[in-house]
Amino acid sequence: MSFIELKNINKSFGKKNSKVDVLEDLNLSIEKGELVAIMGKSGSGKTTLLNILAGIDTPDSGEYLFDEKPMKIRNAADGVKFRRNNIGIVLQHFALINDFTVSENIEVGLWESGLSIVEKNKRIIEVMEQLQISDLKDKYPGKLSGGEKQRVAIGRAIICRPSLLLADEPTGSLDSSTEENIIKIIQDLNKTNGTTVIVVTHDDEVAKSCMRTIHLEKH
Amino acid sequence: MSTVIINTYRNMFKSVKRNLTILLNMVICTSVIFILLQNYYYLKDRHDDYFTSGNIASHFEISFADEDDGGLYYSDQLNKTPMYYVGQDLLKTMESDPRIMLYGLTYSNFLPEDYVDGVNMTPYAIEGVNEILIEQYHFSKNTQDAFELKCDSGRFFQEEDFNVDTDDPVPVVLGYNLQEVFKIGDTIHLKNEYYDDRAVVIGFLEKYSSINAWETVNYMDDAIVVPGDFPRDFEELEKNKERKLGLSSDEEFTSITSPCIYVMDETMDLQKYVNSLTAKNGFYTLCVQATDGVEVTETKSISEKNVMLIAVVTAVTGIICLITLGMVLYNRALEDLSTNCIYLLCGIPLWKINTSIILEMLIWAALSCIPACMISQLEYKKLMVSPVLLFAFSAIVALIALIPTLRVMKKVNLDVFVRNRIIV
Repeated sequence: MSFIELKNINKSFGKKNSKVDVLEDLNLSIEKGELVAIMGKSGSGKTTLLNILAGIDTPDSGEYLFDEKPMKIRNAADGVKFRRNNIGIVLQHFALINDFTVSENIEVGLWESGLSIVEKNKRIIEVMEQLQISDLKDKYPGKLSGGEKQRVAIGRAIICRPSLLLADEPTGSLDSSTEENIIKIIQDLNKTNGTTVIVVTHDDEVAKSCMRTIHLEKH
Repeated sequence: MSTVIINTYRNMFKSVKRNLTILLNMVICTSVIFILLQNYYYLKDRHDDYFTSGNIASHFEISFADEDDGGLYYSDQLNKTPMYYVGQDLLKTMESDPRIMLYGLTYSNFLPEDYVDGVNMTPYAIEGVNEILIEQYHFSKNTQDAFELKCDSGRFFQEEDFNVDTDDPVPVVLGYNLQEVFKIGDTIHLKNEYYDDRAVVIGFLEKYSSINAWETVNYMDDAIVVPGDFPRDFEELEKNKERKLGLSSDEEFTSITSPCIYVMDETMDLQKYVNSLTAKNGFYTLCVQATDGVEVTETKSISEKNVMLIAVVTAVTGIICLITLGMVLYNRALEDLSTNCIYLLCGIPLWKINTSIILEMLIWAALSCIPACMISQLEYKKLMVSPVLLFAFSAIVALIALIPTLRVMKKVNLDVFVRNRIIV
């Protein structure tokens, strides 16, 4: 049995006349510890798929099994709960809180962890060392480069040790040298922590660095 | 819980300017509510069950013949407060009103000046007692005419007798029986433990002269009548070189003294009359005891008109503050949408984010009560409005102002946020 399994997933947007089928009878299996790239043209449903995997959106029909259990996201609160326990998310636009320092941004991922302050601090230090951003801990996002921001975003996503890391165009806003750096970090996380990683990208280089690439066709 | 606390802290301290605007709006709102509630309480309270009940009265009342407060001679609460000047106005107005008559009754130890020098001991020093406790009436300008009092010999008070220089003796009229001891032009001492002043006899009352008020006849054959207030050697009087009925002050004591009010027209509604004065003088509490010091009127302490006016001002100010506050919070919510989306992506539930916003507003509401409570404590030495009630009102204001914010939060769309587009 796969770690993630999508069976006959359908998703469309709009109403009757303007209805657009984004995902149609999508079947997908991802094993635990895999590093998978999802590629496709604009409008092919990459981000929609990521949103369904993250519990942000729900499919119109079909079955989503996560760690062999059927996902039942009835409302936004269910999605929040699901993400808290299982998912880390990295976005193209970094999504950092500008009035928080680097360490505070990373700590947001632990707010709901129930860990003690000592344990939280220990984990923040570990993650910052792993991502080589220890020297940036008191800086605010406005003072960071794109690559540094993305590393902070990755730090926040992995601090709660999720079993699945979803990255939506993680290198989309970065130059090529920084892009390589971020890809390497994601690969390391996959290998070292055993985290299953799904990267949504339109970049061939990023896709090549993954174990497997899934292509989505535009309908 | 820690999420709520951390986010509350962040909300409260991340933008000083914006949060000061929130606090300022809350303070204004709470203060106007405080003023309204305070005056509403005044309106509800009657003189007899409020000002005679305990420690509040001495702090702000302008009372006439309130025996509970020792005639208010020794109140140290009114010194140069707005209330003091309102009291002055009130007394002047009453004094000049022909329908109202003011007079006071105190007691002085009374002895002839010659006795002080050890010469010519008078028959009034009886049984080894060298001083005589005597009834001392304080008359305003219209009192003598109102009670139709006449002199047996000498004259009664004239206009200038109410404005005697403090260096000169006070002109006094004595009761009929005291003619046995004194003659017109004699100088006497009037004193008690608080004062010692000189007086000159200008006339004697007719035999059986009396004040007939409230079904009681007070004969004045052994009494002394002084014009206006007495004593007069307080600092304020020395400065003004003028005798002021009913007002005296010095460093320690500033008060309205306690003449009785006698309403000439029995059909006159004294409550209405006082309310009209309070309406003119502001919304301070003015209580009037229109009897002989035992009974009290049901005088309202504040004009209903003023409460209505304050209610309108409160409503207008409150609405302006509410709209401003709502707009500030709404704009902040829009600016914070991306942050809140990040929280949701990280598994922080929306109810905790909303709880932190509500908690923050409750803290602002609590803080906004402090200035009103301080003003109350400074002005009245007492919390005139329950802080809990005040907090409840300001909390309601805060929560109403939060409604647009909470509606925005409900509409947060993570799908759009992930796609890096407009969020709501």
